[in-house]
Amino acid sequence: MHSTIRHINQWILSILLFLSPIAYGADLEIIIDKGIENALPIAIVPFGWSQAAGLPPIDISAIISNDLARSGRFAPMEEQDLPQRPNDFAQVNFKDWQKLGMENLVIGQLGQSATGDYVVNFRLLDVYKGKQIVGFSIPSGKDRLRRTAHEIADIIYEKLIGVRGAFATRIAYITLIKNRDGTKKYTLQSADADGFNPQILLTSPEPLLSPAWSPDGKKIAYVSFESKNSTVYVQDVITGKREKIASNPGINSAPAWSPDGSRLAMTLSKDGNAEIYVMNLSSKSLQRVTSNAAIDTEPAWSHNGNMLAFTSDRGGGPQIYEVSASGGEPKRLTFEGPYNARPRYSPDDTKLAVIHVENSVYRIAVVDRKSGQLNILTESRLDESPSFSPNGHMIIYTTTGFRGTELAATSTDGSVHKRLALEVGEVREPAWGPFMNQ
Amino acid sequence: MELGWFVKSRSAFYAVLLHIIAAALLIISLDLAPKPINQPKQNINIVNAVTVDKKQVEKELQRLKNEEQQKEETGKKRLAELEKKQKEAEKKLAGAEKKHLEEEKKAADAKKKKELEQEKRELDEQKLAKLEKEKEELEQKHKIEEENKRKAEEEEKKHKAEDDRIRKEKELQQQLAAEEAEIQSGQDVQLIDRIKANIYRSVVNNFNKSGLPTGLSCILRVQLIPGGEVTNVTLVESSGNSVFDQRAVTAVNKASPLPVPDDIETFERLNLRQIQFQFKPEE
Repeated sequence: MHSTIRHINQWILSILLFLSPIAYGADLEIIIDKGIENALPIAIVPFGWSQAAGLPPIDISAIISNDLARSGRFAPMEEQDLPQRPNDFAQVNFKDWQKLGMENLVIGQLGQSATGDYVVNFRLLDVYKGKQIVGFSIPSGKDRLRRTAHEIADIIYEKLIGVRGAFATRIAYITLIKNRDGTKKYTLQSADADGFNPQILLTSPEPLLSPAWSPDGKKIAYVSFESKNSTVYVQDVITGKREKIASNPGINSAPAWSPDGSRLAMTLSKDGNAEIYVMNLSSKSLQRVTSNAAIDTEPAWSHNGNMLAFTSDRGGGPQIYEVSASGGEPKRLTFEGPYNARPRYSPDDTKLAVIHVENSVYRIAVVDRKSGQLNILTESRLDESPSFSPNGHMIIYTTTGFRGTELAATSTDGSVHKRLALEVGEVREPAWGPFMNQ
Repeated sequence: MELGWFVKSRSAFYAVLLHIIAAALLIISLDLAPKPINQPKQNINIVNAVTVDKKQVEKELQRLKNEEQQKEETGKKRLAELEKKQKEAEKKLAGAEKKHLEEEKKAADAKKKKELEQEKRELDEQKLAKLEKEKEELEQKHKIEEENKRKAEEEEKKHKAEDDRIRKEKELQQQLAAEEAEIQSGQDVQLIDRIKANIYRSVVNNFNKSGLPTGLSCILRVQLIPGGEVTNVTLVESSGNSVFDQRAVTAVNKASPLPVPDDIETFERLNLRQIQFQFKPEE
């Protein structure tokens, strides 16, 4: 009887054990609800060079490495720490890289044909899988090699981050050189996103301001004081041909392109007070958007084309407001701090990059459009002119230190700050250009 | 049978003995009568004296004859008496003998009885002894049987005890095993929680969600070998974002070997060869 009971007990027990999903039967299940947010470890091995004699024209791996590091999302391995320097897949000893925690490896070769053309072969490898993630053979030319390197960085970025890289893009900015005779030289320039390959688009002894890329990256709108009064121009980047857009009495400033490139929002004071207007570029017709006794300026166009954000002191101090591109009642977006100005929409329109001023300290901040929450990204005393990268992952801005005003870039979360090396002078008002489709 | 013959022969012996005794007694009684042996001598003397006168002789003869007759008669008488006496004696003897015989017989009977009794007793005793012996033997036998039986029973008991012991032991072992399994399962639950926590930490520390969109989730099936080395990672359910999936796979691969118990037995018991991971980072 007892044994029967015991047997039943055992039977029940075994059923219970059988049913127990944890220890017996089913797989162990673990939910990973957290993670780390670190720069991805990656190793970029110096590319092989087909010509035994002579050095390669550029260091492709260094360009890729710098691009990835500047993004703040990668932690490229220092060259001296590389355990091996393979150029071929067959040479790679994955275990060596695994031991070092390197998740990804970039290897490649630069070749030059008899005709002088270049070709860049590269492979992005998954160290833990021991497999190639992506590999390309990219034809290039001597003047295009840097760009090819940026394009490789873009591919790596997209494969490992999931968002298109913005390394093979251009930036525009204004430089100021103060001559010894007291005269000034302003230039409108464009350059690669890493600051290399600068190209002067315009030179003027009078101030140049507010460059803005057309959505197709072919034109730049800007403000010039060359005629003593502020004038808005649109200039073709390739041909240098330009068009005067607005030269009304008073203020003509802060041009902003509509996402379709057909219209330009500007600040005009032709009606007595600085207000936001929208001009149809083909018809040159103007539409007034704001109507307020306070100053309304620095418009930015949302990427969906619906909204205009601008700076207004109608609430007392400068704050960010938003209004429908077709007009209407503006809505205040910023409430933190006494001074928020010069808004720029993120590519997904969820955020606005602004200059946040507190106690005369100018910093770059990002405001969440929905919640209004403000996140300060920079630490310097005078950081201005934020501009989103086209993938929204970085913001380029100016920072003023003992060396003058320089370009700097920060990741959108503020975790990484890099200064962009530019050769001469004071650099102002950078504008990050759009993706340029091949 | 043997006894019958013995008793008969003894009876014959007693009969003979009795007649001898009777004859002896007769001779003694004749001797006790007036001396018949002297008479013939006297007679011879007389005869010599009477021979001279015939008449006298005759007379003598007559007288002698008478005498003789008388004598004869007396003798006869005396014989009769004697006979009577003898008869009496005989009678007496017979009575005595009878008595004696009776006594003898009685004695013999008694003796016989005694003997019989003795015999019987002896016999009984023998019988008894025999019985005793038999009894003893029987008892011995019984005892042996008993002993055997006891032994057998004991053996059986022993066997049964052994069987019982084994059975009980078995049951105990089963019970213990069950209890152990229960305890084990209880411990295993704790152990599993610990292992899960360790693996969780290990994978979380390698899951780089930097720059990934929020709200994504993917499921991986991961094959392990003892020691925790990851041998295979299968994407069971994609997040729809290949980079997210890839980061999850890398997290597991980078965490390899996963922190599992070194003990292979435990590894197998806890079924750690396959683990399912759901990557579902909170915002």
